[in-house]
Amino acid sequence: MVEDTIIAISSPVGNSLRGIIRLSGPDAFRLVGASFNRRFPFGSWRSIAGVLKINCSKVPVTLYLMKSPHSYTKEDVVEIHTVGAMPLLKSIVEYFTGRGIRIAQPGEFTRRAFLNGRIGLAQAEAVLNVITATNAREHQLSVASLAVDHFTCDVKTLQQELVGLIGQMEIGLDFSDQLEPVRAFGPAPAEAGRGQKTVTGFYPVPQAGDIEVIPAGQVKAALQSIYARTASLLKSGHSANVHKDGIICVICGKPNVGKSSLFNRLVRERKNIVDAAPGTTRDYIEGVLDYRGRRFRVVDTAGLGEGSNEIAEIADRKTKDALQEADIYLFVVDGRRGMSKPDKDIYRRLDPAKTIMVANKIDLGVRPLFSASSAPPPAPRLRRAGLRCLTSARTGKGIAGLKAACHKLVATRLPERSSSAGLINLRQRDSLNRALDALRRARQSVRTGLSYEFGLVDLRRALDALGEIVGTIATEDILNNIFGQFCIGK
Amino acid sequence: MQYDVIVVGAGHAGCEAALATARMGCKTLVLTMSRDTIAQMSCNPAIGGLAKGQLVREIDALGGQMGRAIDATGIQFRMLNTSRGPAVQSPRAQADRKAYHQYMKQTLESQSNITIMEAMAEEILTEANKVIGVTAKPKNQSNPLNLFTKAVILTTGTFMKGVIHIGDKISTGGRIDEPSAEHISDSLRRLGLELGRLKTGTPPRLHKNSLDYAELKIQPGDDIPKPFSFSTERITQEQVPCYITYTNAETHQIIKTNLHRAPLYTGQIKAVGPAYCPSIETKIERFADKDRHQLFLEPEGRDVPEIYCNGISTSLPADVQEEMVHSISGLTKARFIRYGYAIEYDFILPHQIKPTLGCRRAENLFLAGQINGTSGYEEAAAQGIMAGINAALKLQGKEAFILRRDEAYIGVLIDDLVTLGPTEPYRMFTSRAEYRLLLRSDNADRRLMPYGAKFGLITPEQKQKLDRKEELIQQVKTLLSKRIKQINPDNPLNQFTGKSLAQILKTQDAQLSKLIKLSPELSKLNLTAEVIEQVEIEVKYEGYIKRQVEQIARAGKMEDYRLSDGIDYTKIKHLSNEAKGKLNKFRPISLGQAGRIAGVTPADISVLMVYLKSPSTKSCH
Repeated sequence: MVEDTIIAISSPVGNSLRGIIRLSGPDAFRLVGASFNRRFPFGSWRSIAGVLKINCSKVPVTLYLMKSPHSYTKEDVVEIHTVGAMPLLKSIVEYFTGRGIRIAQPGEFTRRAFLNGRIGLAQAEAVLNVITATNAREHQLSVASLAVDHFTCDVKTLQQELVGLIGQMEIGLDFSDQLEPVRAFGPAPAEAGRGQKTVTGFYPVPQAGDIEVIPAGQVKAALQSIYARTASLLKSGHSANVHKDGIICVICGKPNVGKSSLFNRLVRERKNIVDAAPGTTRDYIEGVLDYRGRRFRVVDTAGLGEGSNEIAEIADRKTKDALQEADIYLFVVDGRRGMSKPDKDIYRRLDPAKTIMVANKIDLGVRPLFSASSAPPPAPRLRRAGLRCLTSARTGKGIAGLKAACHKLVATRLPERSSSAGLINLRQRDSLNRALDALRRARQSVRTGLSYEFGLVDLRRALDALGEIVGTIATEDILNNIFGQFCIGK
Repeated sequence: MQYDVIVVGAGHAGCEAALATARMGCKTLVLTMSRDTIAQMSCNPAIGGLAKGQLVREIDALGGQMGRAIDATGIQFRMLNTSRGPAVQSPRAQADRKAYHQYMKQTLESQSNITIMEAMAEEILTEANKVIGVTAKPKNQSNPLNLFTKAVILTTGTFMKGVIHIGDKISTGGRIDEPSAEHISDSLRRLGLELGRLKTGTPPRLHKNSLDYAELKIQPGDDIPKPFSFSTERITQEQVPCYITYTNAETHQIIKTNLHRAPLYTGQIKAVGPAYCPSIETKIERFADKDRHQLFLEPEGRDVPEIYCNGISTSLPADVQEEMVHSISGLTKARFIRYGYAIEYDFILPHQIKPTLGCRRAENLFLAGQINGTSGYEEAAAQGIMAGINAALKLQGKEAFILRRDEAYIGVLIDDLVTLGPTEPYRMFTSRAEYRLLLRSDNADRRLMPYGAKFGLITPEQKQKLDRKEELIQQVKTLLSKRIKQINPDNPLNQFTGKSLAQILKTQDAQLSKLIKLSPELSKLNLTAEVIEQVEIEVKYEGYIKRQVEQIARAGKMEDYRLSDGIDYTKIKHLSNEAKGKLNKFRPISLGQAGRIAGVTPADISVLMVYLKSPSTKSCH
C-alpha cells in the first residue's frame, strides 16, 4: 500500500499570528520545492526561510523539512510557516491540492503516525485531542497529557495491582493441591464459615507450607482500593471534560434583579446565544464566555419560585436541573435592596463554595433600604452581606471584576484534575467504565462468598479493559508474576 | 510392508496417537525402544490434578484411553478443590506405575491395526517434502531398516539427545538407565526444522521400608473415589495413603553449602526448566525466607518399594541428595532406590506446527507431546489423541479437527503452543482457559463426546447414553422453569407458589436433590447423580455461564477472520517489524489467534483488519 500525499492547515482555526500548513507523503518535498525560491538543504531535519511562489503572489515563508522516517508521520513532511491570515492559508492549500495533493481527513496525520508506529494508541488519542481541542485551556491539558502521560501511568499502576491480585487469587485455584493436602475434623475454618453457620466436619486445613492463599477479606480490601481509584480516574476525566465543554456557570436569583441583562453582558461579544429548548419561553438560555483560556457556559435561569401555572412549573424543574449541573452559581440580588428574605431562601439552595454573590443594578442607586437618598449603595454594607461583586449590567461596570471572580473560583475552588491530568476520550472512558463494571461484579462475587474463579471472570475482564488503554496483559504474564513471587512446585 | 501411520515412541502421547489411528482404521506401527517401557511414568506416578484432570476427562470424551487406564490401575483417588466451584475441581490419582504400564501395553497389543516393533527411529524419510517412511534400527540388530508409511507421528518425549545430570556426572539417556535417541533430531534439522532445548527434573525414589511413618503426616484418598472415565461405573480397588513431611533449616543449610556443586548453578545445565516445578535447590535459593518446604511421599505402586519424593526434584550430587534427605523428619534412615536427576532434551519450537499438530515443513509429519515443548503425561496424551485423529483424517482426505479455546482445554493447549512458542516446558493451568467456567471436568462428555462419536472413537452405546443424558437435562430444566402451582398442602414448596423451582435453586443453600424429592414430576424421572449435577451447575451459575457464552460470541468474531497460510506479512507496510516477524513465524489461522501472539499489538490487529478488508490484499500473497 503506497500512501498518497496529504495537506492541511494545522494552525488553529481563527486568526492567529502564525499560520502553519503541513504536508505529508512522498510528494511533499518535490511539490513544495518546485514553488520555492531556494534549494532544499540536505539532512533529515532542516528549516529554511524563503519565498513561496503561489500563483502570482510571492509569500514569505519558513519551511520545516522532515525527511522520512524522522517526522511525525514517519513520512516526508514539510511544514510551511507563514502569516496567520486565513485567506492566504486557504489559497496555499488550494494551490497544492490543484497539484495532486489531497486534503487530509480529520486526524489523518495522527492516523498515519499511529499506523507507521510513530505513536502508541494512548498517545495517538491524546494527539487527536490536541487537534480537536476547542479552546486554549484544553490545549494546555492535552499537552500535559502528551508530555507526562499521567493517565497512562495511573492505568498501568492499576493494571499491575490487578495482575498481582489475580495472581494471588489464582494460586488458591491452580495450586491448591499444594495447599490443602490434609483434611482435619473440626469446625469450618473461619474463612469458609463467614456469613454462614459454622458446621463441623472434614475441612481442608491450609498448610503453613509452600503456598499462602489470599483470604477473602484481603481480596475485598484490594478490590475496594482498585475500584475507588478506577472510579476517580474516570471522574478526573469527567472534570477534564467539563473544561472541554466549558464550565457551567448558572445565573440565578429572584425575578427582576437583572439576571438576563447580566447574562447578555457576559456573553454579548460572542453573540451565540443558544435558544431555549422548545416548549416554553421561560426555559433557561445558554451562552459562551471565553475568558483567560477557559470556556464558561453561562446559563440564564428563569426566576426561581415564580408563577404557579404548569409552564412555570416545567421551567422551574428545568432551572433546578441547571442548578444541579452547575460548576459556578452567579447569585444575583438587586443591589438597591441587598439581601431580602426571598433572596436568602434561594441562596440557601446553593452550594456556598461554588457561589459568587453579585449585587447588580448598582448604578441605579439605592432608595429605601440603605439610605433615603438615591446615591449609589454603600459598597461596604453590601460586602458585609457577602455581596462581593458589585455590577451594573446596564453600564458594564464591574463586569470585568465578575469575570475575574469566576476565573479565580475555577482556579482555586473547582476540583482540578489530580495527577491524572490527561484528557480521556470516549474510547478510554468506555474502557474504564467497563473495567469499573467488571470490578463491581467481581466485588459482588467475592462478597457473596463464591469461589474465586467466579470473581476472576470479571477481574480478567477488568484487566482486559485496562489493557485496551495501556496494552494487554497475557495469561503468561500473570503466571510469571505468580512464579516470581510464590514458591510453587512439587 | 507399508503402513498407514508409524508412531515413533510409546509414551503417553504415542499410546493415545496409535490407539486413535488404529481405531480410525489406519494400519499403525508403533516403534518403541522397549515394550517394557510402554506408557512409562518417568516422573510423578500420578494422573490428573488441577487442570490436568480436565484434560484426562476430555481425552476420555474423545475416546482416548488414559482415563480408563488410571481408573483401572489407580491406588489413590482424590477430587481436588472440592471446597471451590465446579469449574476448578479436578480428579487426581496415584497410579500403580507398573500396573498402568501393563494395562496400556495390553491395550495396545490387543488393539487391531496396531503392530508394535522394538526399534529406535533414526531418520524420517521424505519425498518432495512429504513423509514416506522411517529408518529404524530394530533392537539387538545392527542394521537399520526402512519402514514405509503414509504418515508419521513423532512422540519422542525427552529422548532426543537426552542428557542426564546428577551432580557433575553427565550421561546420555532419554530416561535414567535408558538410551537416548541420538539421530532423529538431526534428521528433523535436515528437514529444516528449528530445534530448541529444554530441561526438566525428577526427585529421588526412596525405599518404602526405610521411612519412619510415625514422623509423617498421612494423606488419605477420598472416601468415595470418583472415576476419570465416563465409562467407568465405580472404582472398587482399595486405596493407599500418601504421606507428608517438610524440609527444615538443616536441609536448607545442606543445600546452600553445596550450591556450588549444583549443575543448575555451575552452568552445567544450560536449558530452561519449568518455573512451576522448580528443583529444591532453586526453591531454597530463590525463596530464602521460607523456613520449610512441603514434601509429598507418594508410593509408586501397591507392590513396589519405590516412594516418589514429590517436592524435592533435584540434580545435586548423590552424596548431597543423601545428606539432604536424611535431614528431613521421617526420612533420617531413608534408603535410596534412585537418585533425583535433571534431563536436558531437544524439542521442536512449536511455531513450526499447525493447530492440527501437523508439521509445516513436511506433509503428513505430526508431532505430539514433550517434543512440542510441553510437560506432563496429560498434556502429552491430549496432543497424542489429537495428532492421531488428525493424521487419520488427513489420510482419509477429511477436514482437520481443531478444537477451539472455548470448547476444550485441549483447544487452549494447542492454541497456546502455536501462538506462545514456549521457552520453558508448558504445563496446563485452569487460569490459562479464559472460559474455564464452561470447560469443566464434569461436562467434558457433553462438550466432546459428539466429536469422539463422529470419528468412531466412541461407541454408539456411549453416544446413546450421552444423548439420553442431554435429553433428561433439558427435560429437568424445562420442569424447573415452570411456576410452582398449589399442590398438596403439606408440601413445603407451597410457600413458593408462583416462583419457579429454578429460582429457588439459585438461592445459596438450595440443593436440587432435595427439590426433586418435593416435586412429583421430577422424582418420577429417576435422575442419575450426573444429570442432577449438570442441571444444578447450569441453573445455579446461570448468570456467569451466560456471560461467558456472550464473551465467546464476541471473541468469535475475531476467530472468524481467517488468515490464509500464504500471506507474506513482511509486505504489509503498516505492521510493526516485530509483528511482521512474529506473524510470518507463527502463521496464525485467524485474527483471534494472531492477537494472542506476543508482540502483535492491537494496532497490528487493526492494521490486519484494514489489510484484510483492503482490495490490494491479493498482492501480498
